[in-house]
Amino acid sequence: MMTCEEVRLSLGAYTLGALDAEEAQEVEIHLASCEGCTDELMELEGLPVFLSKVSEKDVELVASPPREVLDRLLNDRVKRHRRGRLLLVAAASVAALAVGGTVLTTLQDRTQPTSAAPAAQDAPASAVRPSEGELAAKESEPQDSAARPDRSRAAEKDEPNATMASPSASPLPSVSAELKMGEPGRAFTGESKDVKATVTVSPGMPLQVQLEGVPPGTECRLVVVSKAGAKEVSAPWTVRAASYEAGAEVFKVQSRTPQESIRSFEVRDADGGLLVRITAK
Amino acid sequence: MSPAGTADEELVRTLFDEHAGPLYGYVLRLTGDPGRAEDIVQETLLRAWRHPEAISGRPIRAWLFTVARNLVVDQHRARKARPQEAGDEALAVIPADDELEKAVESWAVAEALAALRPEHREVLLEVYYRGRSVKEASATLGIPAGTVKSRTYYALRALRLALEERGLAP
Ligand SMILES: [Zn+2]
Repeated sequence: MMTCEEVRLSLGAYTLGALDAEEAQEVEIHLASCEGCTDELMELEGLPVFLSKVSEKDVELVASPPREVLDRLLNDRVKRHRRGRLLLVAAASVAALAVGGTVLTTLQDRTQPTSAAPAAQDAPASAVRPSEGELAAKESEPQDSAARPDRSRAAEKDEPNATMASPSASPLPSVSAELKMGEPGRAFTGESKDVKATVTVSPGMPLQVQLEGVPPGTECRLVVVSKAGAKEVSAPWTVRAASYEAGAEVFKVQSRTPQESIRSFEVRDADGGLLVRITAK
Repeated sequence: MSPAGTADEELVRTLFDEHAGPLYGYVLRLTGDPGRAEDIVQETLLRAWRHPEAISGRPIRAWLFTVARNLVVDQHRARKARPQEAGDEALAVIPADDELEKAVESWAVAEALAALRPEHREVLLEVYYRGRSVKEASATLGIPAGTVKSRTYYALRALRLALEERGLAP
């Protein structure tokens, strides 16, 4: 006879149909006469429906959004701020004074939902320092037009460089144009919260990997991901204390994946944990 | 560093950390093109950043998915309008409005699974997605059968919690 505890621990596998027939039968016999375990089963029974909504690949995609989108967003922000400054120069300074009262409101709106996020102290030194003028320029955007998604396009109208200004929709900006791969000896950089990595790709040469922010003693492997999704895992190397401090240690990695077929690189630790992803694009 | 710059940067990072994964998965499934998916995710998050008033106090995920979907549709139309590019990567599916809610939910499920502890996610991948029995999973993962069973149980409990946190009650 199975005890309640044994049955409980088997209920997950039972729910997913992974027990062998004999064991499943034992569980069923127990359930027929045990209300507590039956209640527990009901808590789990609805879960396979949710599991069936997604694939293994979906889970992988969610876990690894392309980091370079974040980099581009942060860079793009810099450009927009610069433009904001130029706009202000063109506008009468009276305008800046006039909206002075509402600037704070905007700032608080932005700060409030994220105040608990731990990212603040990670902000790199390159972060933007908006002057009051820039904020004023931003404030002049129409506030109501973005209130609903179907009207969001209208919100871009006052932006000279906005790519989505026309309702007939122009194609997306080729934001990555200057980052395209192709020439020999290209260096690609990726950044995560703590780690920065540069991979240099040269025809006929081993890949060169440089890391910053990886604690000394960490065993690393480079994973080369092809456009077709194939993964090639390098032999491990260990980050040494001295070279880490110097920040100049270059690890050479042999890859069989042709340069033009590389989609991205991943630096992973000994447990397979992702330290940083670098997109070759 | 001025407080304003920090707050802005923080918002961009928070938007990315909280939404880029599901959003990217959704758009990639729509376009089938990683490069285009990245551009659309970027544009969508940029709009959210530029219009905090549009996303405060409403289900932001649905807003983001709607904006992204509209961008995909617009881009598709723009491509179709240029004859020299006709047939160039036909769009697989353009979802109807009522499918948006389903998409938001599905990607929240994927997100819940991605948020599980690695060993919990791993055992669910083996037992559910790869259809392995307890014995088979025990061999594949190199852990005792009893551990496969208890991990599956705790993984499902954790998943239930993660779904509830996302407003999805099993
Ligand atoms: Zn019982």
